[in-house]
Amino acid sequence: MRRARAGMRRLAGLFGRKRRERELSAELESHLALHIEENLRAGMTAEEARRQALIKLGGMEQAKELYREQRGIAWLETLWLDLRYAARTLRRSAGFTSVAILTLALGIGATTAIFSVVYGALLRPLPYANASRLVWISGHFRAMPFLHNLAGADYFSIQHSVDAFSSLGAMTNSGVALRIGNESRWLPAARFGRGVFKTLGAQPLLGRKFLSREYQQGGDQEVLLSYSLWQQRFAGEASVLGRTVLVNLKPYTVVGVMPPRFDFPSHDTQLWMPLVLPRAATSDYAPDLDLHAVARLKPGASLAHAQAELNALGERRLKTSFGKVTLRGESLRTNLVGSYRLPLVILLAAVGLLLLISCAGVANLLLARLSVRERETALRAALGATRGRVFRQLLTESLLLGVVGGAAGVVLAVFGAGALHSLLPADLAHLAPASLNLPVLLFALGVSIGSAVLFGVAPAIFSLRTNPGEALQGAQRGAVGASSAARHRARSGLVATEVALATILAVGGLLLFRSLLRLENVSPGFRTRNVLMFRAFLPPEKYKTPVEQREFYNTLLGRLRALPGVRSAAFDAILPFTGWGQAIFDIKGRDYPKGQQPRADMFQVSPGYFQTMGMPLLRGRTFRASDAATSQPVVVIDQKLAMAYWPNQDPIGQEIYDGEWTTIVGVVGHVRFLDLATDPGPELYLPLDQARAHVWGGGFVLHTSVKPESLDLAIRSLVAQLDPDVPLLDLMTLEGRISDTLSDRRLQTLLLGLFAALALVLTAVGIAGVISYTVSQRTREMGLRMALGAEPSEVFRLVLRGMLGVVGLGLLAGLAGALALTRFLESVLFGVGRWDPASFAGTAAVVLAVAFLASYLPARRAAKVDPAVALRQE
Amino acid sequence: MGEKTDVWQGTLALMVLKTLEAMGPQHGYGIARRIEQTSGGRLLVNYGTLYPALLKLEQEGAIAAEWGVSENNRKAKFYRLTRAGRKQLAKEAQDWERATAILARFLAPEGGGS
Repeated sequence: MRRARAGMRRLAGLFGRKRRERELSAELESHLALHIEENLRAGMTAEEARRQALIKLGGMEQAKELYREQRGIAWLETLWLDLRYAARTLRRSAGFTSVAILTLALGIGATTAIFSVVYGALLRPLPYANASRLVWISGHFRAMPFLHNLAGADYFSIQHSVDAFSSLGAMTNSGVALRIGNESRWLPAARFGRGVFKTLGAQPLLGRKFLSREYQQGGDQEVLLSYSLWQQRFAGEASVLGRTVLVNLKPYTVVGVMPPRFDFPSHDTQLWMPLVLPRAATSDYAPDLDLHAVARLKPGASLAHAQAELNALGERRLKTSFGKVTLRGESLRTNLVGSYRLPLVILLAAVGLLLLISCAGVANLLLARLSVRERETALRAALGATRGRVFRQLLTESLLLGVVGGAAGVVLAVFGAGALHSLLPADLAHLAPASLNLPVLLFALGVSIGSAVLFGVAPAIFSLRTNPGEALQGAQRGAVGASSAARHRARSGLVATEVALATILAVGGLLLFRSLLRLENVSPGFRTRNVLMFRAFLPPEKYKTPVEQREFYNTLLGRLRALPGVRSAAFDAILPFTGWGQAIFDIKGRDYPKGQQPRADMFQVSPGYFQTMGMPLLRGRTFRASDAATSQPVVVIDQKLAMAYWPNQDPIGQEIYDGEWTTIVGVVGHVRFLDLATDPGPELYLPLDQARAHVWGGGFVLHTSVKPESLDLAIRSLVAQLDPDVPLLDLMTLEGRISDTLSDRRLQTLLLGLFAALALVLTAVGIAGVISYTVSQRTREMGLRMALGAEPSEVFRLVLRGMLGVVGLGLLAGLAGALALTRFLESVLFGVGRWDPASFAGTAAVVLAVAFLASYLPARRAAKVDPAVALRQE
Repeated sequence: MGEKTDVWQGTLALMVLKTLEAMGPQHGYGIARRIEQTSGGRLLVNYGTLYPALLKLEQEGAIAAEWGVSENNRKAKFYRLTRAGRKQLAKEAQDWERATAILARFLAPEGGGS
């Protein structure tokens, strides 16, 4: 009660400050007057009476300060005063303030921009109810590293026997041709089995989900649209419900539209249809079915618990045609973010180092200013400010700097995040929107305050060590006191820290840059210039048999070859750098146990393929038009396959079994078809006309004599003429495609390089600052040395030598740190070791060069000192 | 700062309250002199520390202040005990006596008790 009343009074004490101040002065004045009168009566002189009364009071201002602390809510009032004072001080020294704010803005801005992506990818809640309980289930095979499918039978046994899930649904992922008006378009689509909507807790924005009967054979005639498709193709009109659209030339009724953020299973899925999964589903794996499952953990069940059950299930599963299957459950987030997690964490750590450097830079500036402000703080102390009060004042100033720098940083981050967003891979960009949302802004505020404490505390502590008496006597310039020497050591330490951190960033940047260079210079084994490629999607309803499909491809191929500007054209079922397919085969005369048979990546190509791609024929022949369905089956193998199975033999004429006995007729060079970084296993080529499997999205490669992009329209109209129901997709140049596969890496290298460059600039500013200060402090000494006969170049060397020690120390620490930290980069490096000597040596050279340049100008000023002027300076 | 001051301020507050009870309304200087005299000059303290203590008691409602004229015709701020202040004085004096009695027993020569 008493405390509450006192609290209210104190709150009231914040107001009417002027009146209260007057009253306080009046009360203390009357106190003094009473005391003086009594002293006078006791026989003191007037002066002595006043002096004794003041001593007894403990000083007028000191008494007032004590009183004020009790009066209002001291810290709030103090904060306000300090803030106003800090703002005035900062405005007065505009040079210092703008350098400090710019430094902070760079650090905080870069950190915020990177964090906005990290937040979007790793922390932002997914748009599903209780999304952390969702599990993505896939099948994995040791022999087929790229295949992650489930078989229908797996799905049913998970549904039947895994106890950890409260609900479960299966889905497939594939593209479809959507006919709108006269145009046929290929769109990424998914089929959802019963239970997927329930598991996700998802509802359409408009219309309804699928009904139970629609998951049954013959009932799947309904389609849900994505929000963006609805907006772009159907003008966002509600009347779209009930409309009939042609999906793969079959009529489907639009029953609903999903919300904007619904992006399951992929960021670009545009259509959803019911998945009919009969009980008697296949027990083997169908790569083109692409079946997966999503499940929700029961309350109380953990992912580990579910994984244990999945493991047990995988153990019981009989051998499949791809060997043993491992069923894997991972959180939906892990599945979505997957391989981006490590690069993101690396970038966040790198930008954190940059932030530390900018904090060290600002701390350095503050320390330099401290010597200028020594007298001011001493005066404040003499006027009754307690040490805590001075400390708080300095910290408030840092906070203000931090918050203003942070605000400027957020402005930079808005632009940075926008630019960054446009460079992100599409799926990551979809997860992390470009706008800075509330959590990201809160993060920026937290980082600003944290930075302020980080860079503000050390200088504030140093200010406490100042001896007011000494400082007020106007400590002669050039006389270096103990506290000043300690400050100089602290500043050197900060510069060394900056150098060390910048060195670590530079090593990382150089390692990535050299990896990228190495990678860009890798030859994939085929021609990359002037190659255009695309796929044609044949709606399965219209092109039911492999024969019909091949007929279309051959007709199209004939017309493509006749197109002006095309040197040669060929068919390739799977385009380079877009996918893969594998085959398991036997070799005549050899016996391999089941599961250990030879494997190869398999391609179906037309005659002219090797010529179009510029792949060398090493032995035998390539395919001919006469390699038809009715003639002797033939294959071409690559050098790697030849070396692996016929190391001392001529493979030509050997026979392998892949459904039927086939003769090897040629050996071509090995190629990297997945991406430049991966050296794939052996490769096997079948002629298009002899392949028996369905190919609905066959690819074409064209070697052109003109700029490949210029053929875009001609090809589109050619295909539309041939069959308007066949949409094109993935039309692009091979160079463009290769560049796309490097874009993640390029972005990462660009960002790390940018951070390293910024770090070096900030460090250079720090070095130049310290040197300038040293020079100005030691002008007199320099003058004396020169007056005593030292050459200007000696003075120059003296200044540089001092800095060299500091930089060298920082460089060594940084290189040592990099030796340890590059461990985390190892998995993203290519062609260079993590202790790559060239990167380390290059970094050392760059850091030393930057340090020399940053020292050179201020040091030269020292050498130009006129001894007469310097000595007269006092 | 911190606890030391609190302890000191606590006892100082009690001295202020007792002084006001004994002397009636009094200004800050008078209270300070009285405390010094009563302590026989053994409490050497800056008078300045008295004013925050007075303000605290005023904020708590134990004392009230108004401007008046001193015995030698000077304008001064006079403090007087309120009813709440009287109650607080009684309670705190009792607490203090109890505390000192307990401490006295601790500090008494050994073997004195049971």
